[in-house]
Amino acid sequence: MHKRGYSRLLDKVPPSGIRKFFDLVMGQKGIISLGVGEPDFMTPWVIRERAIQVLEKGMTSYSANQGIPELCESIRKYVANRFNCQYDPKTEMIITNGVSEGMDIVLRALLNPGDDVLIPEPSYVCYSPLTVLTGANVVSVPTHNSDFVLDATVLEASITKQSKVLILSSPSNPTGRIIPKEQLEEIAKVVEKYDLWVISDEIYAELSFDDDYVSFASLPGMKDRTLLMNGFSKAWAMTGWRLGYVCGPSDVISRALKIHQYSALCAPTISQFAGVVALDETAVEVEQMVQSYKERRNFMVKRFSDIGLWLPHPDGAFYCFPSIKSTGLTAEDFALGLLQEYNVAVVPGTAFGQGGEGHIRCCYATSMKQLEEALDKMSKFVKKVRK
Amino acid sequence: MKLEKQILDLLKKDSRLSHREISVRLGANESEISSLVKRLEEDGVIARYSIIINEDKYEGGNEKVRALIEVQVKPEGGLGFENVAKRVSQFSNVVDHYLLSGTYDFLIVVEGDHIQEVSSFVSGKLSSIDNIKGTVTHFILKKYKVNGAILDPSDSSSRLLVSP
Repeated sequence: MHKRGYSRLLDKVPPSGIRKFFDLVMGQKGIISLGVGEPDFMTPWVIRERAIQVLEKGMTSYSANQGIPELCESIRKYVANRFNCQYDPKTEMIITNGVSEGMDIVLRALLNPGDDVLIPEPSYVCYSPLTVLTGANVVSVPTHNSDFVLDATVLEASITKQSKVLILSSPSNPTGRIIPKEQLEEIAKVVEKYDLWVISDEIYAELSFDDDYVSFASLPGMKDRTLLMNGFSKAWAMTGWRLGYVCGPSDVISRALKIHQYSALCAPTISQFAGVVALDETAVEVEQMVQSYKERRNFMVKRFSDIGLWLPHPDGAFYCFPSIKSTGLTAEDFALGLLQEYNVAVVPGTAFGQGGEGHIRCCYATSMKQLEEALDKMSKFVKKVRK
Repeated sequence: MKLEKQILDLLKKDSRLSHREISVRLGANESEISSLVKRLEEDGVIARYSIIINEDKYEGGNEKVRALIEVQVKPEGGLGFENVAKRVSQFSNVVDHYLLSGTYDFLIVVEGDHIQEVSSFVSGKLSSIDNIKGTVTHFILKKYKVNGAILDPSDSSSRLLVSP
């Protein structure tokens, strides 16, 4: 302990619940893990091959802060065609080191100490800590009474004078839920009424299994208030490439770019060149991966219903978020028991905020064989603790 | 995607999947899957259920020899290649048989217990068929990928067991 101390803001950030569980799991052998947060596919070969070419040609310098123009143009086309949102690739876009960096720089570009950020809970793990680090306050908005889809009336009830930013995440990690269009429209009314910014994390948008995906930024009047976050990690199985992007109004983008240019300089250049191939040439590979996740999703829904664990319908991403309340255990005790007695790892819902109590996150981005074995074991565990 | 296509995609990857398993994965009714599969079988869309053997790993078996053979054919008036094709396909040594565009006409895959068997098939049986003008034989030395399956995938990635 140094006598002059450390960042007081950082001390407000609690230790990661994921990290805690990770340490427990690492101590055990022969684990079947439903605790991962990434695809089980390898990055499609054409993307990897482009990166190899880029390395061979020695194209390994910094890029412009904003990103290489070719990728900005591919993103413009993709976002326009897929989500019906038009952005100027020169002034309304930054290519980032994954959505995580995008989230960080946008929050820092928007917030002042004392501002409130509305975060529907349970939420992805980075939203709250990154908010706290700006000096702003987190206002959790519960979603468990509306099957984990943010309800506009609950949102409105959570609004304060300091409310400035709402973070949306759909499809959601950890719940797999997608906010339907009608609900998004209700949310948009609240956003308009209270003059909020919206950060819309749409990293799982391609993994939406039942209906066409609606981007929040595509709703009438919302483009000027929305920072659209997306990236390559999930649908293109490119987690380790660290590649994402933010699209939004130029006044916010130019400010976020100021931070990005000092703290990150640019997204990895090799990844950026490969990203062009991802967007332009891999529609078939993506479709095959999405179909495979969908099949596994269907399997999980059936098995949880057989086991007798209720779960909010997993519309997208690759997570199920079943309720384990009927076992009488807390999320953490359930996850711990399942790990110690049956060697199956899941993440307690509380790792995603208190709103996740009574639930566990099960990632189904793993082989069918492992899923079958894991759910057989979970079924035994549930029977045992219910006795 | 049509349900039939989805069923075929699943069976192509694993033909041992039960109708029940298929129905769960596709979120469809089991009896619907059964009747669709039955129809695909009856219509000959599903010609056969098979397996892919990685012969490099199959020590117990006597390894068969395979060759790809380019065949030049003189088309017959009114019949084209059909008559010759029928005769070639009949041989049990012929495993696959295609009509191609380009510098030669048929590509056939021939299997035998040893090189001599394949050679004598080509010289004795194949070349003696009327209207076959010439052949070029390529023996297969090693298989890397068969029907979309990489036989010895060396790539691997190790994910963290728990991640956000």
